[in-house]
Amino acid sequence: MTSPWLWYTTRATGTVALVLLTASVVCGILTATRAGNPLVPRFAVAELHRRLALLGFTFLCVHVLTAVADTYVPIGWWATVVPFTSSYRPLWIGLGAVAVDLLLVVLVTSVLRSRVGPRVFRAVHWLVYACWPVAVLHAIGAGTDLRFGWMQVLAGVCILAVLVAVGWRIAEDPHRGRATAEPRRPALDPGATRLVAGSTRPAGRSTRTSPAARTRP
Amino acid sequence: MVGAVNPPAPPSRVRRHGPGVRDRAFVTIRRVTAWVATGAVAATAVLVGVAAHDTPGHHDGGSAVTPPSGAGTNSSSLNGGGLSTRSAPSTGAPSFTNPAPSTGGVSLAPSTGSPQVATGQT
Repeated sequence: MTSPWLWYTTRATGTVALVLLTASVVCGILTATRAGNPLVPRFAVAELHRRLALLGFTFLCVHVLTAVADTYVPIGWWATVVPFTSSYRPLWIGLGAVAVDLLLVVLVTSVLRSRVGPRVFRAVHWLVYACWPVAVLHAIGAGTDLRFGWMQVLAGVCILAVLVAVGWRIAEDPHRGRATAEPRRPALDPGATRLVAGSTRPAGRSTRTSPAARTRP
Repeated sequence: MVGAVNPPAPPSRVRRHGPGVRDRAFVTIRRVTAWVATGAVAATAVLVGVAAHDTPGHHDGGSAVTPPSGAGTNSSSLNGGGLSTRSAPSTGAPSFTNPAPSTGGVSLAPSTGSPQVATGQT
């Protein structure tokens, strides 16, 4: 099946998928940091991250399907999952296949998060940091729209956004280290204190320490 | 002073954000997701239109047909002549001449062998 519209759709969905996945990556990085405020809490950013990822993956599927369906360029089904087997621009299409594979692994482990456990999920999720640059390289190398100024600006904005988010995360790491280095119990107590205080008890700390106080003479 | 303690890590999200906050947040997320999805589909349509508009008739010399430099030669050497009728591997990219084969003499007539070599790449 050869139609120019298939090729146009391939290009368009590839660009949109790149933008959506970039937004998802940025949201994911912001979720990993302590970014968040009462208006946009962190769980909302995490939920947005998931939805953007699914949306981006949907567009990625359309991108792959139309690229394969368009027989004008010889991209077989296998070439979309087995890297560097495409006879059409083997390097750049192969990078796209690598990105697809990594994204599939991340997606599967995200869906099966409760089964694989948080450690495996977190470890596999780090693959995104390899997946996204590979996808960008694929877009730069295989994308024919990069001739246009708007596409160059778009790619630059995507790269800049992720770099800024990564920089923010790296800059926040010392704070995270300090927070995790602290004992766990004091971190939990104030929350409980606040809850108790929210339930119209006069003073949370005093109620928690009251058993010890009661034993005192 | 107990009240001055700022909790760095609350025990659970439910405790930190009440059900009202969560409901409002999820409504907002749903709305944002809908807008993003709509925008993505619209952007796709616009990009398809831009790609369709970018035919050789609109840009001189069929520049839209040509792939990034070097890609065409790679694909042509590795393709093995799989696309004999269209001779696309000679340029390495899907042709933009399909929607407008009559413009500017950028023809895809199979009898000419490799028309894009003559028009797209000089």
